[in-house]
Amino acid sequence: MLGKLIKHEFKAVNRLMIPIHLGLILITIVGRFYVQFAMRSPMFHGYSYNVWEGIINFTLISFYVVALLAILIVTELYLMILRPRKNFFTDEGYLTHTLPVSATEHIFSKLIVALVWTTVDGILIVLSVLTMFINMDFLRHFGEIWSELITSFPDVFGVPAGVGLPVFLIMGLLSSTSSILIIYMCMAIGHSFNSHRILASVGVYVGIEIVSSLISSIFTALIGVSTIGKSTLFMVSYASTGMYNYFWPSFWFSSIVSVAMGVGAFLITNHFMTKRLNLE
Amino acid sequence: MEQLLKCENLTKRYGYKTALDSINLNIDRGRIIGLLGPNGSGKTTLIKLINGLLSPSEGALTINGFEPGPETKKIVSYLPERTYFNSWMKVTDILDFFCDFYADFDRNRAMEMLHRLNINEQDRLSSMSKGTKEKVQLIMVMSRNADLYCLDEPIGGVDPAARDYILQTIITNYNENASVLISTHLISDIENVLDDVIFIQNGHIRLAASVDEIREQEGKSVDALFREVFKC
Repeated sequence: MLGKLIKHEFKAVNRLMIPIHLGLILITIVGRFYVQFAMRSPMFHGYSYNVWEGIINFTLISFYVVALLAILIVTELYLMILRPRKNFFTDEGYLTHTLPVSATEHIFSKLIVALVWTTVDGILIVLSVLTMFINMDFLRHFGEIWSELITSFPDVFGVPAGVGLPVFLIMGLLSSTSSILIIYMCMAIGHSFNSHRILASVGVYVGIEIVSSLISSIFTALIGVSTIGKSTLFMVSYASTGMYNYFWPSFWFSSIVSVAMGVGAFLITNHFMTKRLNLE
Repeated sequence: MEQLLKCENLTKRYGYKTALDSINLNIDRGRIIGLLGPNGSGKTTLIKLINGLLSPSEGALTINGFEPGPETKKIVSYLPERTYFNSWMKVTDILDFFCDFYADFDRNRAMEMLHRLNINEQDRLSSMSKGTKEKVQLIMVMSRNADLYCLDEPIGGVDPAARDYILQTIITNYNENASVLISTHLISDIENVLDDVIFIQNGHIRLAASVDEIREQEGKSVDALFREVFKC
């Protein structure tokens, strides 16, 4: 049944996801041609300066950036909030919740499809930026840049890139999974109320954010006192302050936090969708 | 065979408001039952509880021996009082959807009914009138070979001609092991097809009897009795 749910979930979300990502590809192709064209201009080589050309270039680049952000935000908002809310907790829920399928399968089908599309979205956005601004110079030096990235990796993170990069991927996956599940949980709790359901969902989310940032700052303070004096939950800060001895402790810490919050959120969502469902 | 539907002290409260108050009710197989009562009497609440869209505040409800869950959803076919399909869907999308999820769905039966009511399978729901959408939904629900059909206001929005066809469909489509629970205000339209009636008011069951009993003992039609019991 999970397979069938995923199939129908893709069918529903692809109606929005495919067009907006085709739009992204189109913008990228058009933009690439424009960049090619603009680089031939004398202005680009510093021979002359035309204010109108400058304004046009600036406007187009702003448009591109805004378009990228819009695609990113629409994808996340739709997959993580709008689609699950509509399908689980509005009129559509009358069909969703009378299918002979468990709440667990419903949650996983939405989660998997959201993860797949947000990953595709992220990859396409990175590729778009690369396509837009890559040039022969960059490609010629790509080998050097790459080996520089690989060799300098251990100096900052304390482990070889072959270990560090997969670890970052795992952490990224864990933390996006748990943040999606937390959003589902907030909606499931909020929609068990008899009125003001959206407000309640947002309220639960804000409450959880406050509590979790409180807990994490307590942890940070504790760890900070006992180990390195200054630390945060995030690897990046360790890295930028050169705390390369703490790669594994911080990996385990943030992974355990993500897994614990994800599992907790899943169990609560499952409970609210089976025992406390309250469709209007 | 297990009792089809059994409610014991079934209670549902919304905050301070009690929608159903300690209801005890059994439904047997092979019956067409009218669930009748004024607005806000608890009809829809009871139907939602049967379908697991609400959870009881107290008491228990079992269908074929199971509490509402994936097991019971396989054998209960539910028509809610609102449209639950995505408007972008075509009729064929809905047919595929039902085929995929309900093992008891009979695609041929559904297509036959769609043709009979002149509904094109390639039409999108967004291009249909409210009444046509209701017909599509009812056809899907009645094309399952379920044990219990729960129809919440099934004929409210459709024209009288289609209403007759739909009622005919309901009578002919269920088998001796299945029962149909119909909630409605339009009693005179469905009186002739009912075997039993349940009168419900303010979350209490006022009367549960067979139509024959009512005619014999009270000497009046269900419609007349309803007007008398629920006189404002």
